[in-house]
This record gives sequence, C-alpha cells and structure tokens, in this order.
Amino acid sequence: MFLTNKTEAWFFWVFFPLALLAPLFLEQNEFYVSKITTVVILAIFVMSLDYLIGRCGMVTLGHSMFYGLGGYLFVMLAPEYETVNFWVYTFYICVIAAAIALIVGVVVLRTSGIYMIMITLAIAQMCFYFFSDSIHWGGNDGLFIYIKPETSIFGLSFFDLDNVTHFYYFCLLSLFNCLVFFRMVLRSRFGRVMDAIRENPQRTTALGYNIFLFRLASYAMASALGAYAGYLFALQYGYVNPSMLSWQLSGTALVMSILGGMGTIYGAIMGTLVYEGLHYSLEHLTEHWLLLMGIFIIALVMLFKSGIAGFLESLLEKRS
Amino acid sequence: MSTHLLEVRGLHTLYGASHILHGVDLCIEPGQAVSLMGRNGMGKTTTLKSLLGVVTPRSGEVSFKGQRLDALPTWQRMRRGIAYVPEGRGMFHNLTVREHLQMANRPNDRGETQWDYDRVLALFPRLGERLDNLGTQLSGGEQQMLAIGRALLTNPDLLILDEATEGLAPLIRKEIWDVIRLIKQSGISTLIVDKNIQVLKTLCDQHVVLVKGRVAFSGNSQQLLENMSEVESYLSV
Repeated sequence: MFLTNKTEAWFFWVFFPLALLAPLFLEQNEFYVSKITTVVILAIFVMSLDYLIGRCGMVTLGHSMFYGLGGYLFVMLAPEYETVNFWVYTFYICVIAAAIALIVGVVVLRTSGIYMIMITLAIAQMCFYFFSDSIHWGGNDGLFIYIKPETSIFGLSFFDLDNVTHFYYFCLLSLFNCLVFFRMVLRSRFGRVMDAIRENPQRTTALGYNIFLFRLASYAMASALGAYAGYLFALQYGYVNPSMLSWQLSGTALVMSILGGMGTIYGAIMGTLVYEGLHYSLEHLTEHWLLLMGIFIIALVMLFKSGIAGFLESLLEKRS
Repeated sequence: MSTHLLEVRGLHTLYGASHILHGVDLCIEPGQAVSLMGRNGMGKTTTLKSLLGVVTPRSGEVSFKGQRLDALPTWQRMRRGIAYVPEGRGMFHNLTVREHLQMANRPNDRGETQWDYDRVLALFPRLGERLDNLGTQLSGGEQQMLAIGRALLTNPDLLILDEATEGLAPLIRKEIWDVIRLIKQSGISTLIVDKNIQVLKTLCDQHVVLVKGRVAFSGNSQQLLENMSEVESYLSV
C-alpha cells in the first residue's frame, strides 16, 4: 500500500469514505457540496505547497502565482464561446505551468531561505499586477468562463462539469490521485534524493547528484499541480480574477500546511479542512471573525507543534 | 596519454589568507590502494576537498581517467566514477538504512552495475538486519558500513575514505579494514586517509605523507618500510 504509517492509514480510511458519502447527506443543499468542493480543490493546492516546503525545503510565498495562472491560462487559451475538451486543456495548463516554473525556477532556485521567500514573492506580485492592471485580461474584475469544457474521452462522457455533485466527485478523485502521486514520488529514488537534499545539500552533491536539477524538477511538478488546482477552481466558479494570484493566498496555504503537519502530505488535507472549517464557522458567528481565527490558529500551532498529523502520529504511537 | 586513474599535480589551496596546500602531487593507478597520511591539520581533508571540487584550489591540475576535472562541479566529478566516504560518516538524519542505499544506487558512467543492493547487504549482513532503522540510530561501526555501502552502490572506480576507522572499537575497526581489503580485491582503487600506519603499510600499494600542506614522503610500501623512522616522525605529535 502507498500509505506510510498508521496515522496516514487511519486518516485515509476515515476521510475518503466520509468524503464519498458527504454529498448524500448534503444533497438537498448544493451550496454545501460546492463549499466542500472548494475545500478539496484548496487541499490539492496546499498539498503541492506542502511537498515544496516540507519535503523539498523550498519556502515560497509565490505558489499562488501558479494557482492563478491555472485559471488564467484556461481563459487565455480556450475560445470564449466554443466548447473545448477538459482533458486536452488540463494537459496544456499543466505543461505550460511546468514550463513557466522551469524558467522561474532557474532564477528562484539560485537562492535559499529568506531570499527565496523574497524572490518568489516578488515574481508572484509582478504576475498579480500584470493581470490586475491589464484591461485585456479583465483587470481587477477578472474574466468569466462562459462555456465550461466537455469531459468526453473518445466520445464517452462520464461526468458533467456543470453538475455540482459530479464535479465534487471528480475533484475528490483528483485529490486522491495527487496523494497517491506524491506518495509514489516520495517512495522513489527521486524522492529519497529530495529528502537527502533537504537534509544536507552538500552531502548529496558529494554522492554525485545535481541538486539544482532535482529541485527544479520538484518545483515544476508542484507548480503544475498548483496550476491544476487553480484550473479546477476557475471551472467551479466560472471566473478568474487576480485574487487567485495574491500573496495572501500563498500565506493562507502555508498556514494550512503548517496546521496539518508540514511535509506529511496527507496533513495538507487536514490543515485545509480545519482552516476552512474554522473560517466557515467563525465568519457566521461574528463580524470580527478574523480576530477569533487568529486566536484559534495561534492556539492550534502552540498545541500541535508538528501539526495535527504530527500530533495524531505521536498519539497513535503512544497507544501502540 | 596518462595511465593514471587519478592524477593531482601542483595543488595549491588557500582558505582566505591561509595557504593550506603547497603544491600537492598525488597519483593513483587503476586497482591501486593509496594511503594519505599526516597529523591533524596537515591538509589531508583539504586535499580531498580540493580534488572533489568542494573547495576551489588556487592552482593545480586534477585529472581522472585521463580527463581534466578542474572545471567540473562536484557532482559531475563524482559521476565520472569517484565515491567519497566522508569523515564522520555523513548520515542523513531523515533516511532509513534502506533509503540511504536506495538513493545512492545507480550504475556507473559506463552503465555497469557491479555493486547492487544484494551484494552490499552480503558484504554487510548487519545492515540487512537494520534496514528500517534510521541511519543515525546505528552504532558507529554500522554507520561506517552504511557509508561505505552507500558509496559502493554508486559503482565507483575510485573510493575515497576519509578517516574510515576513526572513533571505532578495535574489533569493528578490524572488520572495516577487512572490508576495505575485499573492496581493493574487487578491483576498485582506493584512497585512504587514516593514521593507522601499521595497517596501511600492508593494505596500500603507495603512500603519501603530508606535512604542513606539502608532500613530505611519497613511495611504495617497500620504500615506506625503508624510511619507517622518518615517516613515523612525520606522524608523531
């Protein structure tokens, strides 16, 4: 099995069956299905950031650039009033995002630590202002997606993107695939080398590995998945706007990753669920919900020093 | 064309204003074991770091299998067929024994795989019993075995061992020396940095002694025996 430890297995067998059943209980209310779909999409984005920061040691505040680009690339590439194929555009968006990441990465990966944070932030802000100041791409208001892509493969269509429940299950499947994909990567020789690079880059170089290329490949991979999440988000709501590229989104994703347990990968799902759960509960409680949110996050971080996943792992270890 | 596997000529290395190596020369033939000896602070590790490209020498030439390495980064030099077992064993804290071996395992630059996972575990059966332990949870001797096993899995032509037996119990030390003998017999050239002259004089074919960054003695085992008192004076405190 691809799961690495008892806690991950426990989480997997609780989360995915519950997530599969969730629309059955929420069938009467499309709003909730749509809401949890957003959480699932965000979890994909946070997972890709968690891999970069927690497993590759690349701290970036510019990951939202790829999330936003995922949406904008679709709007830029697809004809406005024609139906296009979802799979073809998924391929285009992931490949173009990876290519952009390769170019950006050549600059970004020459730095580390605080300088990497600054440079990723600077590049993401450049991208943000490019779209928010561009009349052609909708400026601050963004652009609408009038016709959603069709999903057929060789003439056979298995789901409809306009159907909220179908779209939810598709996003859940994407999240599952991302989890499996990252687990496979981390278990491979490539993943072990990335772990070694995070621990000691000089020592890994002395074993004959070009750490720059390994980091660049990881950066491109995580960026492509980040763009894929942004593409799903744009399809869900039918619009793109510059807030998808904002550094605040990168910051929020970073908090979700830390909450879940940095570098655990599956912790990204927990972090997103808890953060979004708190967000939704508190914003209906008071208009000063951000204050309460801050207090909760401080308390959670103080309580779970290695994140929720880390806490559960130590708890299950003690019990066994 | 040179027949040397490794050829180092006139290596001068500085750390800031400190001149550490003063024209070090070193040659290793295919299949040969060479010892590099000297007291602490005489430039042994700096010589290794200079030839691996970890530090950039001010001047001098490093050639491996007839090709100059001077302009290549460390990882490319290692890819040509050099493996390095660092002083202090160089374990990765976040990797298990299995993962250490998995990440290093690759064919050499000719695409040959003389050393694989099973052969390394046959050489170090104790590692086989500790596959799921973190590298840092092993004893000093086991860590050294893992460091050597990891280096062998890159299928090198030259194995460089920096203080391979330092800090180990005598029995474990003997075990490590026996393994190095086996590695030598398998045809891999070795460059061994150590202070144990009694073992090195029988194990190695050539010997180099550094004193204050200069080669004070260079010769084969016969010459070493003939000049033993002089060499011992270079090594004694």
